[in-house]
Amino acid sequence: MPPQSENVETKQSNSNEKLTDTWAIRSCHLYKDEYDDCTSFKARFNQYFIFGKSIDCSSWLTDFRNCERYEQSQGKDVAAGDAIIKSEEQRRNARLQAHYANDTWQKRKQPPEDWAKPLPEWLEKRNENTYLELKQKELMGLATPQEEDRSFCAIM
Amino acid sequence: MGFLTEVWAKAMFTTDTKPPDGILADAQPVQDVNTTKETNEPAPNSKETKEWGYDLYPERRGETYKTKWTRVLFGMEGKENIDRYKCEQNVYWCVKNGPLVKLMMGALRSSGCPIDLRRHISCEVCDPSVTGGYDPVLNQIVVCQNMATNKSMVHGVLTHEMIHMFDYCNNDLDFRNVEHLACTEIRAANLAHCSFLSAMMQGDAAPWSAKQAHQNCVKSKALASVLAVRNISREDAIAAVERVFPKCYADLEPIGRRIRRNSTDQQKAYMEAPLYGYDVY
Repeated sequence: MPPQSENVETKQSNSNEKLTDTWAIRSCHLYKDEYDDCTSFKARFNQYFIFGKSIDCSSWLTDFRNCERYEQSQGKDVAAGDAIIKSEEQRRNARLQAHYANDTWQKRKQPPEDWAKPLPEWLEKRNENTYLELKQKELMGLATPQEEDRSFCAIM
Repeated sequence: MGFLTEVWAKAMFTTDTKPPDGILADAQPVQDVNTTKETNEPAPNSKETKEWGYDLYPERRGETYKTKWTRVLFGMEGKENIDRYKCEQNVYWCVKNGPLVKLMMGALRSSGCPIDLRRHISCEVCDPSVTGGYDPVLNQIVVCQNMATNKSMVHGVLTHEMIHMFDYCNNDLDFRNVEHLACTEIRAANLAHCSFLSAMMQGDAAPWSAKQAHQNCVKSKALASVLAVRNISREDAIAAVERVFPKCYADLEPIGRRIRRNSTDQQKAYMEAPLYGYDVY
């Protein structure tokens, strides 16, 4: 628990602000997990293997500390919450920027039209009454799910 | 242009008796390759089919696999239908339990390309040098029931091929374009293949030369995949891979991290997928 006075102060200073995008805040233990994993020996070796050096893990720790403050104030410590949201946004931007900067190909406006075009007849025929067909029907709610305990074991 | 050219020079030096073309030039089994085929025009000769790399998947031509009675006698063949059933069970298991497969299926669905298990996945007997493939003509994943025989292998195949599907779904991807092919292969190797162990198996890394060896693993893996499906010269393939490498290597969507073996990276990637707008499957 942070000291009471600090809590009251933040509450007062931010009383009329409200956080949007709170969906971006993960559970606090996930930040801790990320930080611990990022600084573990195996991960450090993996970073050396990929980047040639250790990467900066401090943003996970900062997020974890802010997250704890935010949780313990029960969502009233807006500054801490805001800091996490900002940091998450940065993380998303970094990842998506690399994705959109990849101009090897053109982005589609719409999904391809031939995505689920009919299969040739011989393939349809081979697929009739197969396990995956049944399972797909189950997933779509067209068939009742069945127990799976059959095996090919011949001894029993 | 550094690494691959060096490897190429070394390969030329050691195997200068063999011409560097065709699929079997590489001694290691190529794990996953794309198939591209022409459905409308039947291939006139074997050289033609080899150019599109689809003699690796005999059942794609509409024939069922023919067993040899000598091999049936020794119990090596003759269980194709049971194998197919088991393979389909593994596929379904991965769809239900595999974090990366679930992530990829969610990402595909939110991109407007939902996966229909029966329409988009097919278990088949293939050439022993491959474990799976993606057929862009029928838009289907081929899982090799004779080679990918356990859940983790099927999981690897499905993840790899779904990355190709994701690229095809989101981008105007032309599999005849060598740069596009190289890019999607780089991305698949980058996200799901090149752990330190597989890099070591491939000969691209060793404990004493691990620094940034991941890139080399991705490059040679992508090169092998490109060469396996396109009848182009090694030089051209290397040039294509090197040209698109920086951009495609940095593009980590939809998984967002380079998966480390025996870590919770897969689960973490799956958990953060909704933050990037991907469906939960």
